[in-house]
Amino acid sequence: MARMLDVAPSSILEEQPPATARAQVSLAKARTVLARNPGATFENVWHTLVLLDETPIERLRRSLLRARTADLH
Amino acid sequence: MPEPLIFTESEQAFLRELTRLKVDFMIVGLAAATLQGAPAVTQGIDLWFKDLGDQRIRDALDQVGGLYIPPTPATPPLFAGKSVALFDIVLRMDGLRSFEQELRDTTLIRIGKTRVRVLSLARIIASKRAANRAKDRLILPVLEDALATLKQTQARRPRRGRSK
Repeated sequence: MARMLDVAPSSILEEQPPATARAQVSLAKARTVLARNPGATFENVWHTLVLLDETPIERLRRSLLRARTADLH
Repeated sequence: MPEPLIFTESEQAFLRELTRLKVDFMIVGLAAATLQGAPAVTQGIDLWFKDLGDQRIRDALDQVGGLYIPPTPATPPLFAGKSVALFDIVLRMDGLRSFEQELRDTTLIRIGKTRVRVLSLARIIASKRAANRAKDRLILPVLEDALATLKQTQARRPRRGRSK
């Protein structure tokens, strides 16, 4: 259904885990990535995890929008 | 203030037409990396066509009110028109193999109502390494960290169809 509506599955679920719980899950994932990739930077890993919670088109829009906003400065 | 709309239905329509007409193309560059989750910023969407002379590309442009502007000695080939202004034409991919070979390293990702071939993040990194421009060197650590993150998350959650 989420695919048909072109939205993230989480957006149509009736119940979502609390934000803190989700953040803790992401933090645990980030820690694992960093442990296995000592040269990786936390910010890069964290922002990737955040984007993976969005749909591809949302990720692209965000990227294009930031470039456009940066052009204004 | 609401965020300005970007990559709207009219802009997605070009990808849809290319796909409907079975044009051989893939999204490459930082737009491709972004679609896969890399936290990068890009001004446009790079399209790599197997054959830029393919009449079906012009047919797709006709359908969305876009124009093809051929290259000159001073300028690359361009798309013009509101619905295609975000798209850039890629003629050469540093460090990569032929279009057909790279096609094996693409993934189908849903963009709006269309599923489009997108070059894998690993191959985008290979291309950036080979190009080795200042801007490539800046973004490479971000892409490499994103790839490491993707590998980790995919290992935990194998192919759950995140490409909506």
